[in-house]
Amino acid sequence: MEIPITRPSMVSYADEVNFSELIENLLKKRHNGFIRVTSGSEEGYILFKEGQQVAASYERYSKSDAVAMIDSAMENDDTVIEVFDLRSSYVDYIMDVNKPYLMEPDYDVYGVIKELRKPEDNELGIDVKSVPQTEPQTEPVTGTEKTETVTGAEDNEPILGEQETEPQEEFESSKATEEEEELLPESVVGEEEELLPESETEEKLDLEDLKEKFDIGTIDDARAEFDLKADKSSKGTEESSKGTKIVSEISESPKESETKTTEQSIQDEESFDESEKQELKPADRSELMEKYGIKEINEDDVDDILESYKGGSLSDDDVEKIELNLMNKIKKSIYGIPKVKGAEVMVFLDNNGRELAGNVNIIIEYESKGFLSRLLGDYKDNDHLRRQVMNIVQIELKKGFRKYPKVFDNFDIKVEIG
Amino acid sequence: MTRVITVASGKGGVGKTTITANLGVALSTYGEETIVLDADVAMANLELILGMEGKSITLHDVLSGEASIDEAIYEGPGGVKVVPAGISLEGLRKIKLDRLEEVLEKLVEESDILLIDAPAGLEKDALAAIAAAQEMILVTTPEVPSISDALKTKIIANKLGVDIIGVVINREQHDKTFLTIEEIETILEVPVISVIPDDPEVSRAAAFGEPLVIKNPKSPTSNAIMQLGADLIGQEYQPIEPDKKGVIAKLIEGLLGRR
Ligand SMILES: Nc1ncnc2c1ncn2[C@@H]1O[C@H](COP(=O)(O)OP(=O)(O)O)[C@@H](O)[C@H]1O
Ligand SMILES: [Mg+2]
Repeated sequence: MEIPITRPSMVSYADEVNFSELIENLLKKRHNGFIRVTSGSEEGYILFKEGQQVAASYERYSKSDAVAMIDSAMENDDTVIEVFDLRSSYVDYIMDVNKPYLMEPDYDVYGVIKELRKPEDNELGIDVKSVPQTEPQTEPVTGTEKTETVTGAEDNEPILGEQETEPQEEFESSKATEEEEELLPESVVGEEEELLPESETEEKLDLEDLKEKFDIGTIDDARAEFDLKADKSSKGTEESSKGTKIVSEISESPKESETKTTEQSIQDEESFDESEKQELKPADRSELMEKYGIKEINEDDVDDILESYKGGSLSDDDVEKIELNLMNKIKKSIYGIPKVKGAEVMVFLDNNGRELAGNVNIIIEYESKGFLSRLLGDYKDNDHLRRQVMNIVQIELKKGFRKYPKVFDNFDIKVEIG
Repeated sequence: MTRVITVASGKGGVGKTTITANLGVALSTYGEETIVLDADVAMANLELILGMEGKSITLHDVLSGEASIDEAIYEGPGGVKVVPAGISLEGLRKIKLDRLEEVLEKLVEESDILLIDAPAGLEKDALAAIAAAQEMILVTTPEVPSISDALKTKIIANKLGVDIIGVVINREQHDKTFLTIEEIETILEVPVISVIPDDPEVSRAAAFGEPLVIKNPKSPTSNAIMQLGADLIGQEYQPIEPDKKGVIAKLIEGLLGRR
């Protein structure tokens, strides 16, 4: 995937982070940004928009295959996981330039990753659980920081779906340390610092600006651009000098009810039980649909889907309309041929078979010519005209059945020239 | 009269094939002459789950006129009969869809229950599998994308005049699922007829090529599927006590939709 690498807001190793929890947390935070997973020489990305996975790549794999690869890369303890933050408008842009990697709408990586979940993960995967095990000296620091951050944040209300909180706010509430900065490439850190004061205004850049910058600027420009965002989120954790562990706590976000809806707000740990209880309350269907962001299925969509099955076959009313329509279009085009004096066009659709089929019969009155030309080339002219008419019919049919190009093969076309 | 039941989901990877295979075995163990037709070719793993891969004559050969349907019916574990697909129904449609109807008629003649493992999605082949049946079992996981696809599938099935028996919630994780049973029922407006736990045994059994209901009949998952099979045909089923205490209680809790 084409993604400008900036400064990550979190770095960890696979054995230190519970990947499924990380994904869940990003979902809950409605994270905009991406994860990079580096396993040996292989790299993978999952792009997030509002917490949903919208695109993925892993080496030559894309979409869900890539997610599966990334998932299995987690089995390698040395796999590096980095979380990067992006503004949501920028995510749209990244999606735009990475079309081949876009997930099918509604694709859910959660199911794949769920298997990694541990039964007792009421705690957060990264800092609380994993890090202390491997890096005992970081525990007290990260632990404390984390608690402070969480309680300091304003978005700790336990009520499900009632609060709209930008995930960034939580990120912003943390502070950077010098150690982390040293962990990053010089240039990136430098640029980022230069641009730091601008960060407030940068926030207001719109998509066009971003595109422009990205297209014109160097990678480093783009990096710097992102760093503004990443920087905010990267402040916050004391680091053990041992190395690239956690730059900041993506998973600070508390663990609780796991709805995927975009309306979902960030909640804190205490709310877990409470929201669980809330879910037990009988809710009205439309409320539920809204809560989980499930769209009501549109009748037209269903009709379209069923229509696709029929491969273009139609109701009898439709058949007549289409016959007439095609007839007129073909006629009109034929009259556009010089020397055509008249044309009779008949279109018959056969809607009774497995697939739509049809006949097109055309009789053309051609401008009569002098007997000399008739002697010399009329038969050639006729051939030419026939081909021209055939072409017209074919084009009209193709246009008419654009959605079902195969239907076109089921047509029998006859042209008579009188 | 033979019942033709399609197991469909919309979204892939939710456990259709797992459930179809095990349910097929369950129904045969109850003495029902059951044929499982594999229509899910993109993920043609029904045979794998039943440990019957590598069958050379498939539905495709039948439809292209190279074999008779009897040659494509294989006997699997527990006496369940299996027809491997070999090629997508969409592909088949191009060749000889009329024959598919004949084949289905033949299969219907030879069975009490014809179970069709539908492909994921709502492409032509999936629609064919849905339309081919009178009844449908909807499979979903308790997650939004899966439920949303199930909803779409349900509405299409309604349009096609297919009876929806109910929804099977697969991979339910006690206490940790996105949506509760009640919520799913409310959203889909279809009764939940079975709740199958998320169970690592499922994949293990698949790897062994042995359906879980045979490999480990005591597991809550097997009990849930056996119960589902019994409910489908109005049989009694006495859950097999698992060795570990408490699991059954959990299962029952799950079935009742408690958390
Ligand atoms: N109840 C379950 N618990 C754990 N894993 C499951 C369960 N049901 C299915 N799976 C696993 O999920 C994956 C997809 O299942 P499958 O039956 O092939 O889905 P589908 O046919 O809908 O694509 C398989 O790896 C299967 O082993
Ligand atoms: Mg399948």
